[in-house]
Amino acid sequence: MEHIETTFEERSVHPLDEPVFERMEALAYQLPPATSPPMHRAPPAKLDLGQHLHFIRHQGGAGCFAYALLAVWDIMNEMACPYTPNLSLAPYMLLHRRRDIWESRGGAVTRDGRFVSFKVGPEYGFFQEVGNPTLGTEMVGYSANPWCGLTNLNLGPVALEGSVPTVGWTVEGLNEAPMYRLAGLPKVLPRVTSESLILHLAAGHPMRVQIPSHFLALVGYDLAAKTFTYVDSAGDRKHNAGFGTVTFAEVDDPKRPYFSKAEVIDIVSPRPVPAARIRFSHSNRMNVGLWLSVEGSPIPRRQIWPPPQYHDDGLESRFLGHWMPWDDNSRNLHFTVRLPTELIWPPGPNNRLVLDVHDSGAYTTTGGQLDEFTAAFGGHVVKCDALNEGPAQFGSHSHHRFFIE
Amino acid sequence: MSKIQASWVHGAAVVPEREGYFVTRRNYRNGSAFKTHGKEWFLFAVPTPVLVDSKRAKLIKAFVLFETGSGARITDLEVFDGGKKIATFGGLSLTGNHSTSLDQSNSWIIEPPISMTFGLAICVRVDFGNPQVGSVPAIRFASAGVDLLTD
Repeated sequence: MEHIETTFEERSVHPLDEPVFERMEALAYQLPPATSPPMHRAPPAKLDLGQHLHFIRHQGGAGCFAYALLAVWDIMNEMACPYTPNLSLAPYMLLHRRRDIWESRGGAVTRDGRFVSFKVGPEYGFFQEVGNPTLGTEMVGYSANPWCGLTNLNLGPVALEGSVPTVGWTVEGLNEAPMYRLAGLPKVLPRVTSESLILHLAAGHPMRVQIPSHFLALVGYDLAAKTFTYVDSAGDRKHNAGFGTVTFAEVDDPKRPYFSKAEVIDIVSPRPVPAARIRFSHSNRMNVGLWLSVEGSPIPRRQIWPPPQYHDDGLESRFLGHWMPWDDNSRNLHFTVRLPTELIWPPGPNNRLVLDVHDSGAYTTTGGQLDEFTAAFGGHVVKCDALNEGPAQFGSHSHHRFFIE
Repeated sequence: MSKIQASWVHGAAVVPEREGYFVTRRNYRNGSAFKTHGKEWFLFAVPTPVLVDSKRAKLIKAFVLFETGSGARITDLEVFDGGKKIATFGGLSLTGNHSTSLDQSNSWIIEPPISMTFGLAICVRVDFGNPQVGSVPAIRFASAGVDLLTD
């Protein structure tokens, strides 16, 4: 069994994250306690909420607190509304990285003139009132990626303030962030014990858990093996395809409990939106570029992978002053992205959804295979005919095009 | 002697109250169709001759011609004169194809007649329901209109 201790014990908090950790420690006392959910029957012997998580993120340098929360949020979205697009990290990271644009006044003014108070943490107020956009379709450029380019570019306070609201807007001119909101403040478990964690998981609540220098998303348990399952934000090469385990005994260790804190969140259930789910297998997913478009549309095809925000906020880019490729060495990709708005549901022979796949061979030359390309709107699911007979292989330095009609 | 006037707009004129990724719209020559889930309002702005021969026109009937599919149903209808709500019809559960002729499911009598002042909007609330396997709930609006009475 892999121990968190051997994985994370020697790890120190990333310098970029230090103020966040301090702030979150202080905020923990302002958050309401989580009450134990009522149990009408015994918890199941085994539970895996991780089955609802398709997209295994890789945090690169920093930001585990955000990645862990979004893993929890993604799972809850998928449970409430299957095929909900994966959420974007851009607002979260902006608010944490650029504390100078909100800390002095305790909030930020959005483009539509609202003052969003951050009394109890920027992410909570912002994510309740404004919401959070989804990954892969946000606006390209500084306005949508302020936590990258703006971390070291001094554009002045006006430009920075203006960047706060744009993180919810997409290139089509609509704000999708209100669709994905927290229903209230996160609730902190008064005591982190294996029993309390099991109760909340059994009630359908994955949790963000903290070890001293890291955050994870707790997604399941096995009563027979006496283990919990968590998902890390280190890509799918780490642990078992991104998922690790920790024993009940380690959690309940009175001297050195593994988890110092556990949080439950409540979400506003999202509504179905037209979305695509794409899964490919590869030796390194950063080789592969994906574009979604509607055949015949005058609007340029949009790159959905790597998404715009996947440009490094690591130290190197901060010093160099330009974006760097994200340090993501994960093998496979399985994620859900909102369809271009120019596609009028459903796709059809005269309204084809197009997926362009290009393997650059930049990191590995193994090629890969497209396992799934599905479009869905609520319960209406349409699959790519080209994959009916099985996955489609693609080599490095090659371009392929797939259709849903 | 009373005169009746009618004012109608084609379904292509309808607008959803909220626009977003969660509603898809397709315009056909026989109306505009919407697909989504949950409850949404749709608005028709109907050209309204509020004065006819120097006399105030009175609203006596409202019509919305529609066709539903995959579980969508009309649950409410409201009529506004400018910013003022002048008629409400709730507790409806209207489904099916009522897009080609007038019947009890697409006609509403306004009793007593209401004098029009600032222009009329017919607002239709549709409950598209929850996601279901194999289809997306839909409604097509073919047309909407009113009958107006002048003394």
